Amino acid sequence: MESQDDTATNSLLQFDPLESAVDPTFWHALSKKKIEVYRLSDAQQDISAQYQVPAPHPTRNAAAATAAAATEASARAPKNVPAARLSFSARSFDDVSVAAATASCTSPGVLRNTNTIEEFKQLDKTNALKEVAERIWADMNSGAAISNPSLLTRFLLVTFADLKKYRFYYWFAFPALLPEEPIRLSRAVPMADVYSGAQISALRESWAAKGGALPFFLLSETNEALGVHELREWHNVMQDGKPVTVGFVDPSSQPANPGWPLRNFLILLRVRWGVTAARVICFRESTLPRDPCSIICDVVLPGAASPRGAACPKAVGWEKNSSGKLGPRMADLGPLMDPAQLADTAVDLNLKLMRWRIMPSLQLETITATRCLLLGSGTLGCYVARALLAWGVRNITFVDNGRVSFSNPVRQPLFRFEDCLDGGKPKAAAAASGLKGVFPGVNAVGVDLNIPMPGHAAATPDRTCADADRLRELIEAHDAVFLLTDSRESRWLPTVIAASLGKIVINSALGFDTFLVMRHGIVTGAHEPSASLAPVTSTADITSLGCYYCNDVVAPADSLSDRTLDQQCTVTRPGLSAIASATAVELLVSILNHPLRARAPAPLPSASNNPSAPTPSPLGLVPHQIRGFLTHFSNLLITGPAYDRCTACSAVVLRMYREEGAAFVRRVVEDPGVLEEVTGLRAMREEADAQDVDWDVEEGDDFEI
Amino acid sequence: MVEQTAAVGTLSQQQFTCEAASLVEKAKALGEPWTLVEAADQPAYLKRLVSVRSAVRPATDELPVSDGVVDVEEEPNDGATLHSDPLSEITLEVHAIYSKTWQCPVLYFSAWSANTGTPVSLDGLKNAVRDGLPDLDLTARTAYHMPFIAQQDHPVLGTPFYSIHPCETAMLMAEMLSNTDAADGRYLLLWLSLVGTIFHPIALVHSSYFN
Ligand SMILES: [Zn+2]
Repeated sequence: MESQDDTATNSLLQFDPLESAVDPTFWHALSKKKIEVYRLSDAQQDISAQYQVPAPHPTRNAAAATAAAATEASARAPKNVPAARLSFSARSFDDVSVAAATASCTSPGVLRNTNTIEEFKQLDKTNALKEVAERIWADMNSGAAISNPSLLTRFLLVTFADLKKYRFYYWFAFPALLPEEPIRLSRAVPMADVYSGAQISALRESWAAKGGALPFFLLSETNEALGVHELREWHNVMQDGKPVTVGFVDPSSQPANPGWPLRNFLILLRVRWGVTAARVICFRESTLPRDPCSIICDVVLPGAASPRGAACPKAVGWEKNSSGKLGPRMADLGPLMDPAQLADTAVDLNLKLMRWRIMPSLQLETITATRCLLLGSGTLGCYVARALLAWGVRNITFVDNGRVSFSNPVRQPLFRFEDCLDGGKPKAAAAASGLKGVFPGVNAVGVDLNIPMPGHAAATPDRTCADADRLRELIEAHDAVFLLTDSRESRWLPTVIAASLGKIVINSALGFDTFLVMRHGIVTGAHEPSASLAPVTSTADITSLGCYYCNDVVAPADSLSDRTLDQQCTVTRPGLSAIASATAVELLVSILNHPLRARAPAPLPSASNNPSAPTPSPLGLVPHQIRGFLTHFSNLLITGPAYDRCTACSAVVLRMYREEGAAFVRRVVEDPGVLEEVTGLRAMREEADAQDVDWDVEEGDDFEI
Repeated sequence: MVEQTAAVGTLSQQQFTCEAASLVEKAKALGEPWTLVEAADQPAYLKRLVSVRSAVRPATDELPVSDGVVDVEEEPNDGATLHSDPLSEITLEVHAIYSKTWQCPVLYFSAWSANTGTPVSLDGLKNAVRDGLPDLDLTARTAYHMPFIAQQDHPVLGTPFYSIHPCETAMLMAEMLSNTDAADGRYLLLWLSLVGTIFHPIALVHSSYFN
């Protein structure tokens, strides 16, 4: 076992490089230092880092691993061996004298924090490394490294802290001075092959007795024991003619290679004491009683020693990044430091909480992914947006053509007083920005647009066509459309477009103390003719649910221009809008969570009689219409079929819109009578007496006509 | 009577401190890195770092292309550097902190890339663990009343951590304690093995702790 292996004598000694391990507290501390202490200074700062013997890992068996490594012809390291780490944390900024923990070694280092990414890139890296190497060399020559051997492990860290993006650019170097000639390895064996159990136990105890943090040391040997001595005891310990035996705390787990800290130690041995051959104990023992993990490397240091006081040898030691390239690394602390990202995660987990605790079938991802178009950015629009946000909806587009007025902010929660000044900000944009103020993670957009309305001729027919096309584009780009405008006729075109595109439509309108929230049916081919307008008693009768206009026997027309101001600005009980908006959003969520989505069957009227009755789907019923009565603090669920003469969703209207597009819209805008003509309503009206319930009472001043 | 029922499944601060100290002793003997973190004016809490060998490569730590490439002068290659395949590892940091409000320990945790310190999200952690952590969104989770995870500032450090809400802890522990022989003085161990299941196959405490 002790026999010299001649081929091995020739092998180059390779050192396991150190890998930096930075924990997030280091970056927190660096940010704080940068803001409170360093500011714009790029002066070199003293910091420190820690390394220790490797933690035990399951496959670790020094004897077996060394044997396996020896049979591998390749010079590459065995796979799946943990890296030798130098660790950085908030404590790296503490005074080195208090930083020492037991069973770990402290390395001193130099931090060079640059102020811009350009400075970081342009810093002369070669020279920076050389400066640190020169300090190590000086400490060897002065003897400082003998009384304080941790100086041999001095490192360099170059950083740039981008505190706006919470990114940290950095590059470590662990400078190693190069010998005159490469150092050779005679052999590397597990320590247990050379020393007895008693000797190894004595070594552990002796090292612990020296404080358990001595990074480099000398060894004395008897048959029973190995003793640890500080470097300054060289002349007492080493005897002329006897082999030199030294040790160092080795963070490496490699079975046949020593760790990086040994490099400068060997240079010191060569320079200070002229050592040409040494036995090195790569000390990897923990304080726990376990099998010895240390290895022994017998090394040869050929070539002439640089005389003391000579110029500093060349040095290497820049760390490679995760791709194995020589280059800087980047840490992204955004998830821990960026308030917007923190809010995002917190909101997401809060919603998941509902799923985890209450309802595993909740389709959170579907809800989040639903793109919502809010037509109208007044009271209803503001409250609907807030409720959508609470459900995790991340894409919300506001459409309005008004400006924020002084009466708005108290009722419309996305606006503030400042939004009303100087004539008022455009409502849609102000609502989008208000929503982002609540939650920056939302993609909120405001679109200033006039929705073409039957009976309201625009300035030019071209204008009408352009607006109609723009509205179509918007509806196409969203999954759900909320009708929240302040007039009945402004809902007609979006109803037609959404019906022809098969989009989900949620419609909400307010009276003084009553509200309507309804979903539009999804049109499947031509409507089955529905003979009467009477409320249905069985959902089996309904093949398609009606839209907002299905109960009408007159076409929507200009309902605003002939009214007095007080009719236009219909007053509602202030709490009503929040109730209706929340109901509208919950209706959307119930639709999204139903397997049939917008085609979910509506409940029978009787279903709402008993609120404690079980419901077919986890979120409950998916009603067609909810009519709320604040006078009685009660809601009524109504189910109404699609009407084959509907001015908005009937087959004939949809066909004409499909065929003529914006031209059809222009005709209707100029003359709403067209709708009554094509649907046959006019003919019918002469016979039937309309028993219309007037629901088109609106909140008021949001849309300027 | 009512008060006594409420106290079942809870733990006093004193018991927590006492059991935590003995857990650390046990861990030391087993060579596992549980430590007691004591800060001025703050109650002590238990801490453990777990090295997770990532099954997937974490996000690169190279500079984004837009930030430009930093050149370095080629280092002299003297052949003395061992080339090893860099392993990607994630550090999982777990804290057990006593909650006076809930009268029980609360689990706080965070995870980051062992090299850079870049935080790893819950999903990132789940994907990184070989064979996967249990699916936090599984139906089974609700069926077994698994606790839920929130993001909160660490009560001592003040930085954001994930935490497992303690609202069900007492109820679950009451059940666990009544089903366990020789449960005396083992509240903390039993609780850690219970909440630790969210990290399966990583074990926070293994069977040797109970010997
Ligand atoms: Zn209709």
